[in-house]
Amino acid sequence: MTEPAGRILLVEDTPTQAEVAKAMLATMGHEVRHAATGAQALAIAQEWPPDAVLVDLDLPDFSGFEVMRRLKARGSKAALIVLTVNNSVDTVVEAMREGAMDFIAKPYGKARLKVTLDNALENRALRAELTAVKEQLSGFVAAAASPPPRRHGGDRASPLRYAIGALIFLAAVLGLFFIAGFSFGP
Amino acid sequence: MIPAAGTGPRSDWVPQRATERVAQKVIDRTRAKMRPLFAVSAIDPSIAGQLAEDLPPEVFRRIISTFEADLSRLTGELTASARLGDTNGYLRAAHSLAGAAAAVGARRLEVEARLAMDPAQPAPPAEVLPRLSMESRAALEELHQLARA
Repeated sequence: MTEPAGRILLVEDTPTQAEVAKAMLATMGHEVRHAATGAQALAIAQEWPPDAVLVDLDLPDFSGFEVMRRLKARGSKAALIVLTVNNSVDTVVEAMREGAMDFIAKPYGKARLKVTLDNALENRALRAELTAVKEQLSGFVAAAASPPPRRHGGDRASPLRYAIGALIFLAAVLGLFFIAGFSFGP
Repeated sequence: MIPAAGTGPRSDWVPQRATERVAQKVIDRTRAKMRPLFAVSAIDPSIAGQLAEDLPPEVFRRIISTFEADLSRLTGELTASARLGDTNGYLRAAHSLAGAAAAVGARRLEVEARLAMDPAQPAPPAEVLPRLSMESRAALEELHQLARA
């Protein structure tokens, strides 16, 4: 099975950590862009919508949480993954509350990064598919609720058609009963 | 090059007032010293070794160069912050240094950097910086050895 390559935006201010993450992501076949600040991350996401964002919480200009909030406010559908040294329950809960799909505690290895990212990308793809199916279904429901008007004045003949249809249906049901050996007598 | 530590910073200044987010990262010095890994090697082979194994040699060498540049910049920032008595700058530099060290598996350096920003165990920069310099050199040496292997 081929690996699901995606567009990954890495938001990390320490060059060494960024270099390590970029190298790992490249070996997984992902296309990577790197931002060292929150502002850079937002600018890149604007012109190059990522499939997933790996965001460090401690950034020089504003926090990783703020980056996530602003991306969400702009309607980004990217899977958000938090990179943090401080994996306390409070931090993780706050990350999830801000819309993070998962988190990775630093330092992390390639295996951990790969599993988390693959899961997040798969989850994102499933969500996109579900949204598409929902939209399609609402389209069908809307069409069924308001059928298009008949073009050749068929509306006047409708009651008669329904009556004939109902009689045929009733006859068919009775016929099936008789064939199956039912009787209405004692 | 990593600047010589101990020459610049004020000897009487101790970074005691930590910002709230950095204050959460506290390391128990006693426990850290008990771990035998630190007495053996400056780098954690499960991280550095894995990187060397997973990545093409030129990429691994590039990471070491980036780490070397980070060490130089961050120890410079630490020294400057200590000289100015800039607590937030000092803690921020120590935090970045710990992160950079952790990324390449320089565990002893990471521990020293985290101790430097630990408000529960404040130590004067004149004491901290030489230890950081020593651990930086040891980590770099071992990383270069790994790259050559």
